[in-house]
Amino acid sequence: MLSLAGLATVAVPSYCVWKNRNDKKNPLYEPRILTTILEPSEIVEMGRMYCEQFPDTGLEEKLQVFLMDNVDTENKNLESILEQEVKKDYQTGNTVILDGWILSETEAVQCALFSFSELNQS
Amino acid sequence: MYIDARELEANSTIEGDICIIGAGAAGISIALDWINSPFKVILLEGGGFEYEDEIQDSYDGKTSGQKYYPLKSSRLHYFGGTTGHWAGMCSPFDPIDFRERDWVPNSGWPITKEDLDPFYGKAHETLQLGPFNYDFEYWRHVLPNLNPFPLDNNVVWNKMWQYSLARFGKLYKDTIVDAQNIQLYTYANVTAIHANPSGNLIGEATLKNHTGKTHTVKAKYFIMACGAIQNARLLLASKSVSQKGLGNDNDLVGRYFMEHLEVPSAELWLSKPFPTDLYSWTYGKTKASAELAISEHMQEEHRILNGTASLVPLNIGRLQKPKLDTWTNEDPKKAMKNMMRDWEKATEKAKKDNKGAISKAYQLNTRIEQSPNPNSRITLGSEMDALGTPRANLHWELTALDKRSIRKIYELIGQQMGISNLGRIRLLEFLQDPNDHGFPDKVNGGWHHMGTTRMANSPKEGVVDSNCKVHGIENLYVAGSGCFTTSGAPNPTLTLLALSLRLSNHLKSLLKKVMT
Repeated sequence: MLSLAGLATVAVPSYCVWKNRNDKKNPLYEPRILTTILEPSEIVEMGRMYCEQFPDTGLEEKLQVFLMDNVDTENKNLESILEQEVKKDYQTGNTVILDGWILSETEAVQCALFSFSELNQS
Repeated sequence: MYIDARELEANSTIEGDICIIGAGAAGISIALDWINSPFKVILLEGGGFEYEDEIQDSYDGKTSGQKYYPLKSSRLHYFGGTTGHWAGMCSPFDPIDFRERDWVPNSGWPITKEDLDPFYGKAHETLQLGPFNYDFEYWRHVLPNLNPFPLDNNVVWNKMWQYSLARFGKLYKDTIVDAQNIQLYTYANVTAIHANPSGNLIGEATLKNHTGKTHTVKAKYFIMACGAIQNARLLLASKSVSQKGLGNDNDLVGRYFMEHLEVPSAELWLSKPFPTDLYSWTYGKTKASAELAISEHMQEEHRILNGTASLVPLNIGRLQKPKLDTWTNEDPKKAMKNMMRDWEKATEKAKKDNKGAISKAYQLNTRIEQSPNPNSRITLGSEMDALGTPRANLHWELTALDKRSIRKIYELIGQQMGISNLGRIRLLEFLQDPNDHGFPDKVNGGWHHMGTTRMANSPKEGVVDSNCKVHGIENLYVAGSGCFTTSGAPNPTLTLLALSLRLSNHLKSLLKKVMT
């Protein structure tokens, strides 16, 4: 079952790998459109809600594979990959509703990752 | 010709070929259509040419079920009817609105959109609208800056609207009064319609006014055009043949009352500004604009009702009170003034809060048909009005399909916004729980009364037939939105005019046959 703690075991090491190699923020940890709309504290809250509302054992594995595949990707390409993933989610109806927001699942995972990156920074 | 019925000698008898009961949008449109014909047309209006509270009082009645506006102030009772203060929003129904949809109980008109199209065109003239053309591409070339959201039109499309400034009372008073073959009677309230003993032919109607005088009107054909609530009330109150009322053998008169649900439902947050005039409207200035509509294919796939979403800047929309909270006065002028004042205050206050992300955000307001529901209905109350007619009561009842449809509309728009990456959608609280089928009190109606004398081929399924003739009565017709089998998403006036003009055309054919 995916939990905040479970997600942290996946997300934090990957985040640290990225942080050691880059100055810029990893797009994986930043739901791009949402950062133009919401305050960081609201995205953190959405990440928390996602883990609470959609516990799913498969998700942790999926997330791990996704992070492993993309953590070394150049920033520019990674943004593009994520944008395609988000678009694909909306096309296939792979969406979740968090606090009324209709989000792609990839975005929701990004919200969760954003939460950890924020916590890691503070 | 114009006659004040208060000045007639008591117990006068008025005679003509056609008697139109009610001089609102439907009644006046039909009367205009008969000018210069060889037939004598009697047009009856219960009020005068201006608002009077004593006249308006007959519209008072009780409401139950889903919260509703005071009935007294939800229509206008004088020459010109509710066009005296309407917003003039016009758009035709879609072809799917007329079809039987297996996921919408009691749907399916006995006529098609194509049957109405010629009359939509004619109604455009009466309403002084532009061409009968609602194609987005047409308007895009006519008006500047109609830049559409880049959404998949197979899912979400731009449903166009045009805006009428016609106030029928002022616009058509002289034309009607000057017409040689039209006799307009003001202060002529029909309180009962009388059929022959077998109940299949109307012989006369009783007129009353506040002077205490009673008159009689006789005609070959009678057309009821008093609005959906008052038409049902009059049929139910006309008990000369049956205690059930006229045309009510199957207990259908007054049932299937429908409104348009007009309710703030979601927020659209754009990631960057999107300059366009396509989705905004200013009274008196905008010629055409659009609302986001759901394609027929998507309605079928998701088994939902037809509805649209209009856009209001979010910083304004959030400050506006629900219309049900501002339109509370029994006096329609005061109710209107109070609502407008709230809108002005919200607009003024919003100017101070228009920075950051909210400056690119919109409130999405639903406009959706109501699923036809026999329990949503008009009945007669025990209280009488000043002329001795039982008042109309309304029980307004919504269904789970209404709620699910609204939610699905925004899920579909939300998906499209995600695919286009324009922005994101947030459902308002009352839509967030998919298992909650209820509606909060803030769900507004559009002051659109429909369905109480619904159209169907069978008298077991509707009150009027495909020509708007009351089933089982040879010479009694109903004009207006009460005849709608389903209510579509757009405001009803354009469609009710088209339907009334179609009825008018049918009657002309009948009389022509009689003459030849």
